[in-house]
Amino acid sequence: MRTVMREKLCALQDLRKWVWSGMFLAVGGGPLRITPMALLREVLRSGVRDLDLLVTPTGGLGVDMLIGAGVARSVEFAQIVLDEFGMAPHFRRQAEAGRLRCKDHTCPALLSGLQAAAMGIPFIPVRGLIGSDYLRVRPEFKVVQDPYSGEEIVVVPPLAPDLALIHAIKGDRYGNLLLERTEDDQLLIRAAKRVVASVEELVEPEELRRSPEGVWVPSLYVDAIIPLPYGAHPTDCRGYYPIDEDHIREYLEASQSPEAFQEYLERYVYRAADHETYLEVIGSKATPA
Amino acid sequence: MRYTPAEFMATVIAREIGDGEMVAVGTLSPLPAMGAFLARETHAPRATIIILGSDDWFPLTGGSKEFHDLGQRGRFDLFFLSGAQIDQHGNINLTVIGTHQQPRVRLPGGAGSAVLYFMARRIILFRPEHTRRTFVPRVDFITSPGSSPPRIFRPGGPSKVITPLATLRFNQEKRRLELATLHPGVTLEEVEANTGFPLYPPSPVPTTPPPTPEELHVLRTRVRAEMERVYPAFARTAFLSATG
Repeated sequence: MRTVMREKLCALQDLRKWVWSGMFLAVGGGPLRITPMALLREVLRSGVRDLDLLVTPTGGLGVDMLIGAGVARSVEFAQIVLDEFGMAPHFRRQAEAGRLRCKDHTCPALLSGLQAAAMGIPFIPVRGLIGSDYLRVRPEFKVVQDPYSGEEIVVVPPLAPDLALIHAIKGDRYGNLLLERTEDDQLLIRAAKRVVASVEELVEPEELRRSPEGVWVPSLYVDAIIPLPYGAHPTDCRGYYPIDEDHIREYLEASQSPEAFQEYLERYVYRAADHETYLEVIGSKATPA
Repeated sequence: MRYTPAEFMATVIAREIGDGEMVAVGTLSPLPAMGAFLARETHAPRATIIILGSDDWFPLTGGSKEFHDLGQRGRFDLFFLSGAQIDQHGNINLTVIGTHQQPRVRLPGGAGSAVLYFMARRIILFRPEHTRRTFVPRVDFITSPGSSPPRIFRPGGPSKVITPLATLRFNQEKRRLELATLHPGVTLEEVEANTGFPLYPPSPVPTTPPPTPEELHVLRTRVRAEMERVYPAFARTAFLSATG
């Protein structure tokens, strides 16, 4: 039997159909690795706010930029850090000001929450955690009795974000994707209610099937696919470009005052009204590794 | 024999690794990775090293989920954690200084520590500074507890703390950290002055054996080459020259 697949190619501006204020939004990739930065800049241009953010399980530049732009009311995470560049400045500042609700999680439990959502089950047990202060600040983490051994164990609820934004290495027009193997984007995709993926490289379906490296995701999970070369910039996209360290330093510099950060956002997000303009603004930096 | 603090601490870490063990290293842990590379190049050639998120030292295809699944199953013989605060009971804090709701200092977060501190067979806590700011009587937030009551399933836990001044060991019976060894040239008074809890030192306090010329040679050649690939920024300051 031949499967007829629907084409899911979209333009960046179409992302606005998928986002709304107050939504539970998951950001794929790692702290400085293959983060869907171009999609996040479009989220900012769309004007949505009061977002409940999720990283899976660690985040960095992407969520920090959203937090710095003032569009996040909470963030759920196991760790937020700019790797060897240190603390994520806006996350830290807004948490310390009491303006950001921090839903601390722990990596295995957060990932298990995604697993539960992917499996359609109402909770999932996790080792550890008992005796930690997570149980104090996360009342939805419950200690229950294992019905088989009788031992105490923690259960956590499923995590099913309204929308997952991810950046894939390759994809085809039907929405089949090839992902970075070191990140947890495949699990996030299985857990999320909707998925919009940008792709570094749009390829023919035949070529995608022959690609030797990466994690395959079938189109049935994917609602929209947007070809965006350099779409992870200034985070990295392995095999295509490394972290733009100069840009990260510029971001950190700009994050030292609200005025400077507003100017950063104007320059790279609001005045750069689309991805093509963004690539012109970053100019010669957008060269393959 | 001269050496950097990183070379010294990596050597102490390396000696904790047994041949054939499965050693897991989290993100942002260049010092444990350096120790693991040294162990593999010397006495533990059959150790398996997994570095979370690394290109070359991460053989898994299922993201960090697969890594944490291995950890939760108890497959890691050795894992490394740190703490912005570490207290006398081995509790660690990677979350906040002050209150959770409006912290004085918001830290990056506990990552996998609240599970791996229970489930890896041995955990080494490493901290490149030894001050009263870090070694506090009681942590502000228990990101992961140093010990658990017998009814809690906990096959693993802290074994040692390695700092630039000393090695502490976790006394399982008393459920507290105690001084094990002083690094060469460091006095007991100095460590006590920089630790916010009693250290119950043995008498006399043994000295941590310094790196041997052989260990330093391996560090500055083969380990350095690997570190320059995996942690280029850290590698720039971690080593003296191969002839130094």
